[in-house]
Parts: sequence; structure tokens; C-alpha cells
Amino acid sequence: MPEAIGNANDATTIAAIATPPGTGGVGIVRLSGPRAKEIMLRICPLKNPSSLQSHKLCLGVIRHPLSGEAIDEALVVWMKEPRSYTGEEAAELQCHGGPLVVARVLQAALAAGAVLAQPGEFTLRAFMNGRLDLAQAEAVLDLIEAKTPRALSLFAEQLAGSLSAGITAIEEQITQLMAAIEVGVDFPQDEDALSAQETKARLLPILAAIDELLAGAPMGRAYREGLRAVLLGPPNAGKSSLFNSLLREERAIVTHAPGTTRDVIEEYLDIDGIPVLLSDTAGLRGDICDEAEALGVGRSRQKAQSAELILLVLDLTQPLTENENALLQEFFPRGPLLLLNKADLSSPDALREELEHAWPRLTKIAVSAKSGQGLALVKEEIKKRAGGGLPEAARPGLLGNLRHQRALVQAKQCLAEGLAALDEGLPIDMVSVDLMTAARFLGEITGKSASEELIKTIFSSFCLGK
Amino acid sequence: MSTDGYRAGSYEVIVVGGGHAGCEAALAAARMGAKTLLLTMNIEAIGLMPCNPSVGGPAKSTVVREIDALGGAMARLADQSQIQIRLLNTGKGPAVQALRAQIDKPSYQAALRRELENAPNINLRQGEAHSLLIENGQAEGVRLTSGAVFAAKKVVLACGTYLNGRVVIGEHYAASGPAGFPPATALGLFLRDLGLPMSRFKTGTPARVDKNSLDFSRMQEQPGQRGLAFSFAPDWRTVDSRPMLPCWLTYTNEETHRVIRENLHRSPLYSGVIEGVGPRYCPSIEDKVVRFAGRPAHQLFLEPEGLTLREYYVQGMSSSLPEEVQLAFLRTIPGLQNVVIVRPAYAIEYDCLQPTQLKPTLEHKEIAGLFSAGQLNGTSGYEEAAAQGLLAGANAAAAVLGKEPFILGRAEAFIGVMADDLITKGASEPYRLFTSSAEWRLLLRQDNADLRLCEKARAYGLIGEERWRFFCEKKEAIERELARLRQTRPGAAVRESLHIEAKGDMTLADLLRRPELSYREVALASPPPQSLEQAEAEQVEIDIKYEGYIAKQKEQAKRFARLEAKLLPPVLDYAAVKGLSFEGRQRLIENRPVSLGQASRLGGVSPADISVLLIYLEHRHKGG
Repeated sequence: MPEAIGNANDATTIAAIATPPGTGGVGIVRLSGPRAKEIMLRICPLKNPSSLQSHKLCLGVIRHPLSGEAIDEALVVWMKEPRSYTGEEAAELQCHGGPLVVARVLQAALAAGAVLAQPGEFTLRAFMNGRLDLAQAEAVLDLIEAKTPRALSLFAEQLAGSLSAGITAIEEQITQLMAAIEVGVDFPQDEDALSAQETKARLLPILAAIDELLAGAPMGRAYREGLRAVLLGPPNAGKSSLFNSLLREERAIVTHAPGTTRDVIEEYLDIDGIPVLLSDTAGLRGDICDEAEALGVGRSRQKAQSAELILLVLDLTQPLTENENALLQEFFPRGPLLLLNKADLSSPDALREELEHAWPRLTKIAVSAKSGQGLALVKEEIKKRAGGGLPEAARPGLLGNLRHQRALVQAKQCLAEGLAALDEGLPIDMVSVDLMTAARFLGEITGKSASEELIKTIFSSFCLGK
Repeated sequence: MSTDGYRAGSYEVIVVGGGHAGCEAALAAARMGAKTLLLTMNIEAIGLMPCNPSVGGPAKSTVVREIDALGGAMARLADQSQIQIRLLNTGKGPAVQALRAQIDKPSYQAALRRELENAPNINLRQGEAHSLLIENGQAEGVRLTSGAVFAAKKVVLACGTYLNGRVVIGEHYAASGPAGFPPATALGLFLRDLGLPMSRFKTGTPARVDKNSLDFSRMQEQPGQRGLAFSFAPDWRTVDSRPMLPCWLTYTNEETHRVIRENLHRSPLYSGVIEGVGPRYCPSIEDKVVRFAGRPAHQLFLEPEGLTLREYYVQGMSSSLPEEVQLAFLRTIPGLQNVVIVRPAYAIEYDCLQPTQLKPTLEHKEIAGLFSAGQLNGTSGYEEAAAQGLLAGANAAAAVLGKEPFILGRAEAFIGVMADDLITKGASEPYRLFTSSAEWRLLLRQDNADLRLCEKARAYGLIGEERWRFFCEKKEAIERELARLRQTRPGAAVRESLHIEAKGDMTLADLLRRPELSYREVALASPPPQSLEQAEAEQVEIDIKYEGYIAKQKEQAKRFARLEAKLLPPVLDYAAVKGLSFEGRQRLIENRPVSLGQASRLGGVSPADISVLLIYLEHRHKGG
């Protein structure tokens, strides 16, 4: 059996733990495949198995099929095909949430004849049974990894097919234009042939529709992947207190995640639905005395390099030092956001004027970690950097995936080439070639022209059990 | 072999039917060296054009030139018997430009008959096929209604619209083949009894009217052009000295439509007399009036049936309404107010085979040695029929002679597109080719059919020495000139004579790529050592001017070839492949496609099914 895509073509029944690792209220073991019901009943014998109904919860005791030892009391449910996530016979065993209990329930299922699912296999089966198209299947991955509630709703919409619907509408327009061109070609005596001018007039709205989808791309990506922001600055500029105030303001939504060194601390912030990974770093200065500090400074710079947004924190109460000037020089190309801290202690005007004069193109915000002054502005600016204005609710068809974006850009390029060809006076039937290619790229998003490699790549990145 | 009847002879290939498919089949098999019998119900009906008096048109003209590149007869005979020829779609790109010729029907028939009579290896025989001799799933000969029995190694069926034919005019109908010829009833019953999957199709032809009753002064003249020919090696003296006859354009009007609407209840289509499925792309006039009710006028063309015939074909007005209704609506049309009908329009219903039971060679999957071609395979059009005939005849001969199957791919020829469409998607209505049928039509142009196919034709013995030399010279001339254009950087004098501003490092090819310059101008300013023939110059110009787009399509075709190269095992148990959709699985079991590429074109097989097969094949491959 090859390792890449699991047991997909066998009549096997797969099992996996569907809940995240760790202790929770409930732990779920999932089964999918022709023997799902049988295995469920084998490890959870019901008093009256013939009364078992699809999609109805039953209470039972889970026992190891060989030893007969009781493992846990559980709620179990059987889902008759095709009304399950995978489209196959399926079952769920909902037991108590301790890691040991859940693992033993899974072992019982495996002992009863189930096979451990490969990563992404449940979704792969759903895709193969036509329950999901490619864009929807990818949305499942995003859903699992969504970091904020709004990102969650965005991907839930994609799962329901809103992105596919948007793409399909564009495909439809392209097909209609192709058909109009073909009529003129195949029936040259017909009076209704399309002119180059009309072809152009119909291409433009298609391009506009693609542009609209693409406009949602940076925003969509921000929701999906979040934005990495790093607080940089000289020692004692107040980075850590700013870090803490920003976190106090915004509920941290992911557990405290220490960086690879004790010098870099990272937390997720939920800024209106955008997950922002904020890093606090060791202070930067030129004259370093000890080795430990040198190490910390090196790591700060590394963080700065991988971040999308640099928040350079300067102490408003002191005149600019040589070190600060050096930092401004160094990070200017990255377009940092200048946070003028300790605004509660001093009037910002003097330093501000100096900075305005020296660095007119950088955005400067006077903030106070202590009073909370300017923090709202900082968040606003971060949102702006993440991809422009924020939609009120997640817009349908917001592009959250780099693969989708690339395919859409390629489709757009084909259409633009067609438009250019028309301008150069090439005949309109040539433009069909571009239309056809554009349609193929769009098909790659919904899986209509997906290649083998593509499908494998997508499914092997799914986490186990979904 | 049963004993009733007598042994009349033994052949390597027997072709049943003397229409466009049958004749090209016999000619191809004979060219390759197979001893061939052409059997026809009526020698007078050889090469009959029972419908329009023309050859070519979009996509079809590409097929005609492919037939020529493969050594077939249609292009040459059309050139010899045309009475006007035109280039269509001139305002569009080279991929969709098409030749169409009006044909002098009697000349065409006579020329085709001469061709068959002069071909070595062909015997012509009049007689009606009664049944096929089939032993152990293998076709072994043909029995005639007269009792004659011919043995054969391979049989090609090309019986057109004759099979259980029935002609309908209004409320009247009778068993009949086209144009008053008798139907093929015995063979029709035999094939029905054989239990092969069949369909019943319908097609129609408009009225023929008397030239002397027409008032051409109320119509627009449609003249032809000179200097055009289908064949790659035309005999220009014959072609250009042909007499030219114009066609005539006129329009229907509200009055015409009123007459039709008031008599719709008498149409056999609406009364249910006709059961066969007709082509949507070729609607009868009553269909047009019903479906496009808002349209005030439909155009129609009066086309001569022959040089010396008084009959004119009323293109665009096919109908199965009663004769008197036909006369009434025709007389409402400007120029036809006193029209006299010579032959009324009629609809014809006939049996045909579902082509999904065929292999890419047009051999039947269930009956070895039996090939079929033409309208019998559910197509429509002389050109489509002739091309299939050539394909089937060549494959019958190849099988006899122990050669590899003669298969044309979708990226190779329009004929390949048609064959693949037929065997993959089948025909739910009479199938005709459109330029949009081909994914890579920029590669499958009418102007380069010889460059695409002559080498293959040569390898199979379909073209002779003379044609091959002609082709090689042409190809070399084109390549030489392309190389010169791409390497030569013209001096200031040349640029000046072309009245263009260009940098000194531009090549002649760069200049030619400009929309405002033609090859003729460039060659005049910077002449090649040896001037090019018209057809060679055309190739050079297209190759350079559309280089970008041609490259794009080549790239796409290459990508396509990868899926085409993923062969599906012939014994694959689709029932055991998990995850296939119900419909997809059914279609795969029924059709047993050769490759994943073919599978992807089956109706009902979804992209998800293809993904499933891709992954399944991968597993099989890895799992061993």
C-alpha cells in the first residue's frame, strides 16, 4: 500500500481520533467505510441493535472487542451512506475527553477491524465520493486551522461553495463568449457574427469580475495565514509593556506560545478577525557587552526578517539617539510603523517634528502603553497593512488561498493577452485560445482540471481525522 | 458457412456501399495494396450527392484537405467538378478560413466512378447485401440477396441513409432510400437482429426548383473566386478553366412565416409520424419559424445542382411539410413568386449504429474484422463520411497486411477529432464537425493538412512517389524561407522601401510579425533566392504571424498528450474502483476507454472520477 493517500481505493473502514489532542470534555473517534456500523456495534454492543437508527444518538459502553474489558461509557451514532461527511457508511463514538480514554477507544476500533486513517483521508474520501469539490476540500483544511472566529465563518462559506460559485459564474461568462465567437466561425453566412469591438466589450466585464475576486485576495490570505508583526526597538523603549497592553486590549485567542528562545515572546491577537502573530523581542543596540545579549539581538533581527510588519518603538521622552537613528536607517526599507511610546509622559511634538522632517514617508503614532492612548490607531493601521479595508462580514468568495490566487491571476493574464491581441488587430477566433486557457486555469480552482500532483499535495496536508 | 447461395469470390476487403464513405474506403484499401470489392446496390448511385450541391465549409474543408493529404479522392474530384469556389471567413484567422465549392453533381459522380474503375485492386459489383457472414465473432464475408456469397478477411459497412430508410413528405411516407433509390431493407433487418446498439436518425433536404421559374433579378448574386483549390497539388489549368456559375441570395418574410405557421399541424414532426432524431444545427424552415418566432426574415440561397441541369437547390429551406404547403410558402419569397418545384423537400429516417461500439480504427469492439463508416456511424455530411471511409478502409487494409492500426489523434487531424468524438461521446443527433470541435484548431488548419499528415500517409502507402516528392519540395522551401526570415537583418534600404521605422537589429521575421506588413511586401523588399509558390508563401506567413498563438496551442496539446498517454488496462474492473460516481462507473464499464484522456471526455464521467482513476492507477502502479 503506498503511503501518500492512504487506503482510498480499498473497501477498508478507516478510523481516527477527530478531537484535538489533550484533555477536553468530549473525545470523538470517527469511523468511515462499509464496516463502520458493524465495528461500532462490535465495540459498543447495544441492548437492541435492530432498533438502531441512522443519525440517532445511543448510549452504550465501549468494550475492547477481544478482552471484553469496559473502556468508557459513550454516546454513539451511526450515519447511513450517503448522508455522512465522506458519503460512506460512518459512525462516531463520543466518549470522555481524556487522552488515554480516547486512545483506547481508537485501539478498540482498530482491533475490531478498522484501519488507521492517513492524514486527510476522511476529506479525500468525501472528495472522491463527490461530496466536496476541490475548493471546498481545501476550505476544510482552512477551517481546521482557522485562527479567529471571522476566519472560521469565511472558510465555512467557502466550504458551502461560495468561492466555487463565484468562479463558476466567471467560467459561465467565458463559455458564452466562446460560443458567440464559434457561431460566427461555423456559420459564416449567419448575420449575427460577433465583431472584435463586441468581443472586447464582453471581455472587459469578465476581467472586472476576476479583479473583484482578486481584490479580496490579500484580505483572504490575512484571514487564513494571519499577519506576522514584530515589536522592535532600543532597550527600554517600552516594547514589552506595549506588547502587554495590546494583548490586554485584545483577547489572546491562542495559548501562550514561547518563541524558540526566551528572548522572543509571541502571542496571537485577534484584530477584527485577522489573526496577528505579535512578537516581542530583545532590545537592539550597537554596543553589545555580553554573549547572551548578542544572541538575543541576533534573534530579534531574524524575527524582523520573517515578519510582514515591523513596529519600531521609540521613546518619546528622549531625543533621538545615534542607536535609534541607526535602527531607522536599517529598517526604513521595510516601511516600519513608528510607535512613539510614553506619550503620557511627554508632549510628542518635538520628537515628532524631528522625525517628520527626517522620515516624512513613515507612519508615526503616539502611543502610551500605560494610558492606552493610540492603541486603537495602531490596530487600525495593522488592519490596513493586512490588506486594505475590512469587510463588514466575510465577503463570499474571499480568496484565502495562494493556489486559488495564482490560478486566478493566470486566467486574468490569458484574458488580458486576448484583449491585447484584439487591439493588435488579430482575428477574434485567436482569442478563443486565450479564453480556453483561462477557463482551464479557473477549472484548477474547482478541480475541474486538477492534475494528479495537485490533488495529492492538497490532501496530504490535511490533519488526521478530518 | 451456410450452403444456400454460391461462392462468388474472395477478397481481402469488401466495402458495402458506394457513397462517399464507401468509395474512399475502397480507394484507401486498394492504395495500400489490398484486393478490394466495392459492392453497391446501384452503380448509378456511386458518389451521389443526395443533398446540397457543395463540398467544404468551416471544419469540413479542413477534412477535405486532410483526405487529400492522405491520398484520398474527394479534394481532387471537387476541384475537377466545381462550378464555383469561395474562401469563407476571410476576415478571421487562418485556423477558421474555409473553402467551399459548388459542385456539378453529374461530373462529380462520373469522376468518382472513373477513379474507382481505374484503381488497381478494386472490383466494382452491383448487388444488394443481404447479410454478413459472422463466425466466432469474426466477420468473414457478405451474402447478397441474389444468393452470391463473397468471402472477405475484412468488411467495411458504409450503407449511408439507405438502412431501413423511410422518406416522409407531409402526411405521406414510404420505405425508400435517398433521391428515390430503394432502401436497404434486408441488411437493415439483419443488423437489427444481430442486436448491435442502434439509433434512428432523421435528416432532411430542401426542394429542387426549376431555374426557368426563378427571377434572379430580385436576388443578390453570390459569385465565386479564381485561384482556389482543395487539393495540395491541383491541376491549375483544369481548375481555373472551369466555368463559373453564381449562387443567389434572397430572404423569407412575414408572409412566408404565416403560411408555415398555419400549416404546422400538417408537419410529420409535430404530428408524430417521424420518430428519428434530427440535427439541431440544420433545422427545417418550420423549426426556424417556431424557434425564432421574433425573426422577421431568414436568408436562403439558390444553388445550381449542375452545370447543365435546370434544377436549383433551395439552401436553408429544408422541410417535411406537404408538397402544396411547400409550394405556397416558396411563392411568397422574392424571386420565387412563380417557382416550379422539380423535386419536393423531404425528410428521411434511417437506422444507424451507435458509434461508441467502435474502436479508434472504426472496427467494432464485439465483431472482429467488421468496420463501419459514414452516416451509418451517425454522422452527417459528405466530408465526414468520406473521411471515415478513408480511416476504416486504411485500417481494414492495415489489419490484412499486418500493419499497425492507422490512428489519427485529436491533436493531429480533424479526422482524429471526429473519430474520437464518435467513439467516445457517441452521437445523440446526426454528428457534424464544427471548428470548435477541435481543441487545437490553430494546429489543425486546412492550409497545413499536408504538413501534418503526408509523412504518415507515406508510411502506410496511402500516397505515391510523385505526391511525396511534391510534398518534400514544398516542406523544404518553407523551412528554407523561414530560416532566412529569422536570420536576416534587413538594411536601411529595405526598411525604407517598406515605409516602416524599425531598429537595425530586427529580423525580417520581426517585421513580418507586424500586422500592417504581409509576406508579399517583405519578400518584394527583400526577395528570397528562389521565389515561393503561393501555398508555400502562405505557410511561411502564417507560421510567423501567428507564432505566439501556435506555440500556446502546441504547449496545450503537449499537456493533453500526457493524459492521453496514461493508458487504462483493458480488463480494469471498474466495479471495484472505489469512489467513482454511479454514472461515471456505468459509462466507463460501457465504453471501456483506451486512455485516461478518452475517459475524461466521456459524458457522465466527472473530473472527480478522473482524479479517482488517476489515484487508482498510481496505487496499482506502486502496489504492483
